Amino acid sequence: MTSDVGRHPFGRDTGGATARATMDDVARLRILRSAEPADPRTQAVEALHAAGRGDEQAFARFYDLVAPTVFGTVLRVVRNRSFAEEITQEVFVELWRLAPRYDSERGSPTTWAATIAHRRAVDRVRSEESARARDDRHARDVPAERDEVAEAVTEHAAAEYDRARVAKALEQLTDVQREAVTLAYYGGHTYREVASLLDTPEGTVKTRIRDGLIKLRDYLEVPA
Amino acid sequence: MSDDVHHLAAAYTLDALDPDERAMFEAHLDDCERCRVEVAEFGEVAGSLAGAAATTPPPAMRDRVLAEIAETRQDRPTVRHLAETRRRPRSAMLLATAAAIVGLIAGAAIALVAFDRTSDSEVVLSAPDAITMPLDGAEGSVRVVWSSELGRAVVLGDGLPDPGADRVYELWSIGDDGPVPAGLFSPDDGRVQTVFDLDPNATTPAAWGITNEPDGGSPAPTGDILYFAEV
Repeated sequence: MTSDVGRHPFGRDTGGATARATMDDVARLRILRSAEPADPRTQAVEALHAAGRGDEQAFARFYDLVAPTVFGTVLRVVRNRSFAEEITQEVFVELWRLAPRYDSERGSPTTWAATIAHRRAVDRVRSEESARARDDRHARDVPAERDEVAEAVTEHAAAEYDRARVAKALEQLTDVQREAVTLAYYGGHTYREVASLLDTPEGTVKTRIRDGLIKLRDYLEVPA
Repeated sequence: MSDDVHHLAAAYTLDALDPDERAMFEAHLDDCERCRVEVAEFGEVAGSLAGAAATTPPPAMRDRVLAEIAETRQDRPTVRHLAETRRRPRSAMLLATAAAIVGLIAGAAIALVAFDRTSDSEVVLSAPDAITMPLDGAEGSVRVVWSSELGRAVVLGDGLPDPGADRVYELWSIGDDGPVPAGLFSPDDGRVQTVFDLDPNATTPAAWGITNEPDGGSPAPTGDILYFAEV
């Protein structure tokens, strides 16, 4: 693209022909670019960048790509469908607001969206809890990986693949590591709460979470 | 103790810290590149855990979301000074990361001090509708930040070659009517930060281009496009 641009004859006269040639080139560049096949991540990056420039249709495409991940994550944490819908709506408005600031060098659009969604879900649950004590035993008795609600409504092939891959990765962890990671992430608990739930020292839980994530990272071969 | 802080990266990534610990760790992140790398890596793991939880949302939600965003103003894009993007020396880590964390606004502000027409640039850079666009080109880096509402553009450049004796760079706002002159600039030690008032008919360009022109500029481009970006 750069070399193309460098050789681009802008023309010496001020006539309309020059202007038209310029716009033709712009159109050509646009066509060339759109003809390239794009993987889902690239599609998401492009949609999000365009959304960052105020393109609502591009945001709709971005929504289609990440909505199941956002909704699923929120649902896992809050465990209530209508509450999850309310939070998901808030999350997407926040994603729209923040879209101009998305930096693709700092992570994939899906991860970016999931990070914001998880944080929001956890914060909402915790603020609800300050008013109403939470049934911790429930979260403990229903491990996240056996959440029937989530399994019943998913139909996405890519999600099935992710699910299988992550399930496989979670198998690499010791039982106590897996328990700590899932209670923290899917359960939305702080490590202190996890320690209390498991009647285990906080330092031990912190270490289990850390060692668990390192194993997951290495197994999933997440690029640095 | 400091080791303790480093070991919070995993719990932080899973949102498993208490509010005060979270705040403390975020402050620590400013100073600790190792933890930033870990948070990024663990963040991808968390993204996978999230993907594994994917659940189709109710179809009606899409319309509700799109209706609400249509009435929601977006945050301003982050503007980072080009010197910051090209090299982030460790000695300046505190500065650079503080800038990175607050969206690099600080970097832009620091850069502004060193250049002419500071307040004018700032107005454009902080305009609600400001758009930042890096331009493709062979040498150095250039970006244009413009606000259609204000009808003004800022050119930010670093590492630009000298345009030559009695020569200047000319910025073009390229729209349906072809290239319209947007302003002239000469880099100082490769750097430039200059504000231009745009032609009222050329405030929403389809592309930006920069050419090398004789002193005083040209009404229409006479040289090759050296830097270019489609909007």
